[in-house]
Amino acid sequence: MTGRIKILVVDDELIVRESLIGWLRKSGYEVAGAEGGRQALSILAEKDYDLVFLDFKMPEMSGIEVLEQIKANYPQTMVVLITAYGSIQTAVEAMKLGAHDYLMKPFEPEDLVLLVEKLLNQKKILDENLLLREQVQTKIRCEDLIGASKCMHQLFGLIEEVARAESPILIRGETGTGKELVAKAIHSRSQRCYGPFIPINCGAFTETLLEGELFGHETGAFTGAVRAKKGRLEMAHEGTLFLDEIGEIPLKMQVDLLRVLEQRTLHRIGGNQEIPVDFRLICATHRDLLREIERGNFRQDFYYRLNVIEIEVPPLRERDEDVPVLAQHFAERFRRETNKPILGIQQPALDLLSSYDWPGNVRELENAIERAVVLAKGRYLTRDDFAFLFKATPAQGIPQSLKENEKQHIDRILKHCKGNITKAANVLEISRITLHSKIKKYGLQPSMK
Amino acid sequence: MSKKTREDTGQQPPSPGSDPSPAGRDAAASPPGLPRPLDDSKVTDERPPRSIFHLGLIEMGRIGEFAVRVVAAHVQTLIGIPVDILDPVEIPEEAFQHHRQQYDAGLVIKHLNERVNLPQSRILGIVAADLCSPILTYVYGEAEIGGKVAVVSTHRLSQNEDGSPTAKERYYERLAKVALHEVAHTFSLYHCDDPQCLMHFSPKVVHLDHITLAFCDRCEFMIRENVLQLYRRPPVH
Repeated sequence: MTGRIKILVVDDELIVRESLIGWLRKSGYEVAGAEGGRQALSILAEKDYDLVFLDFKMPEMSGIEVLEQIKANYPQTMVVLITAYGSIQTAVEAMKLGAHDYLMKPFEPEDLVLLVEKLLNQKKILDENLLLREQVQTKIRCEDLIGASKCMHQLFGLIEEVARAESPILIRGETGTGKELVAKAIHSRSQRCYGPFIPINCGAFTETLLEGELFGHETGAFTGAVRAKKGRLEMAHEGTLFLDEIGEIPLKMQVDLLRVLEQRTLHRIGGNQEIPVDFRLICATHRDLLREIERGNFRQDFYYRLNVIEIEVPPLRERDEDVPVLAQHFAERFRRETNKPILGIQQPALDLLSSYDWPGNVRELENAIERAVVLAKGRYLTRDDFAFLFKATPAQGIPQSLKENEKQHIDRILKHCKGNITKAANVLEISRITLHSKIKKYGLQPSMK
Repeated sequence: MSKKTREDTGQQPPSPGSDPSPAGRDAAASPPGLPRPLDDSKVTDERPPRSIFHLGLIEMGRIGEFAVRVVAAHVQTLIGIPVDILDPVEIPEEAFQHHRQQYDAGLVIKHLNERVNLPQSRILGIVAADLCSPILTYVYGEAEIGGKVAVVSTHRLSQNEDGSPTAKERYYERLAKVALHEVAHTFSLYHCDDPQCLMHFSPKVVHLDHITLAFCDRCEFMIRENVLQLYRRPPVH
């Protein structure tokens, strides 16, 4: 339940409708009226209402019929049936169909006050419940942000420091490094942790779709906008907005977003109403935004508004000591999810994983472990379970001799191990002497650290 | 409908620190810090009459002069708008609801809005009869948010929950609270969550007794702002 509480009064008697609307408005609620069931349903189709007062006996559609439609299409909306023709049977029937309460006209003033208070408290608890579920999921996902390396420890410290500030944050890092996890970790440790965490990948939408997704729209704003919709900026009110791949955002929208950040208000597409928004902004990109500014693809003013605090998430190849920790963590998670009796990962397999350079970073590692767990035959994951990582790429699919294959494979492993002969020999499961002789034989140059 | 002056009713200026000069006596009816209402004698075509800045208080039925003066004094002091006590009128019969044996507060307001042509920017009717609304079994008062007219009933204020008669002082206090609450609605104030504030909704007299004779800081600020608006943009009649 965000912003002003919205109540709809449905009654065919004008005097009753206006009287109830007047009383509810005096209590500061946003109230609309409908003279019948059809009008009520069309109003509900345009906007979400927290509570509906619904007359039982109306000429065109009965209150029960309207109630059924509301419960089917807008289950979060609470309904109170009102009638002058009440009986225990109708009350029971209405409650069975999902009405939250029942009032007989005219009401005692105290009954009306207590009922509205009770229902709005219930609604608040239901909304909080949904939010808490979301929070729990966020927390579970944050557990994936793990690492034993020095650079990750520095990152954890930085997250703790910046979480309590309100300043915008720009997270930089390659694809799959866990930028969203860092954003979630910041949100879950911030003062806004009870508010929503709203992520959006700016690179996943066309310009028009992105505008609608961010700003929302009013009914009839464009063809197909049959119902008003909240945008992500509005949904992030009192929480955190995470704009992933901010480098992909069109220049025009950068201006629109800058305006929202400056004025802290927005207009939905096709709407005139100024909607206040209060969120913390976290952005992420894999691009070099300064270079994009030079190229004219990114506004400098927007960049400085976003980049108050910058966090760099290191790629996995620069923290290979984290690979075994992450691999064990993902193996345990997928073991639970798939219910397979996997006890762990054998050391040679861990060495192999550490030697790989993970161009897709943590996401690639996660996918590799998931695949290995799903297809594993034994109780431990072995080197063979990860053989697919070193399969020839399609460009190398031309038939090659065994010698050529061996040469390329040793060269690749040496590069992954940054020229460390002992490590490469371990991965290749040959002795250091054999490796030296093969390097000499094939004329390879072990790259140095 | 003639207008009684304060001198007619023997009413004293409510503000203890008011200016004793003749000009100051008029100004005493203005809240401190507000522009002084215009003098009727200096009215030109461009300037609205002084009474346009006032609240007209009308007794509808037998209320008693003292009760009317209590309400006037409280409205002047806490709302900050001068009050003219007007001649009594009868409660309109078209507002009577035979099946409920009560008067519809909304219809009383409608009558005062449409039938009684008064220059005052706000009108408060005090009725002795029991008031109701189409949705509520009874109301102590009624007003439109940001409207001109409010109405209050004394009918249910002189008894306690158990039916025993209440002390006179408490009765006057309840009446003043209901009157202030309804007049504040005409200045666009909503119900307030503060359980001590005059704008907190009181469904029963026990709740009325619980609230204080004061607005919370927020509601007081709103009242002052909206009364100032009245002086800045006088209503056009």
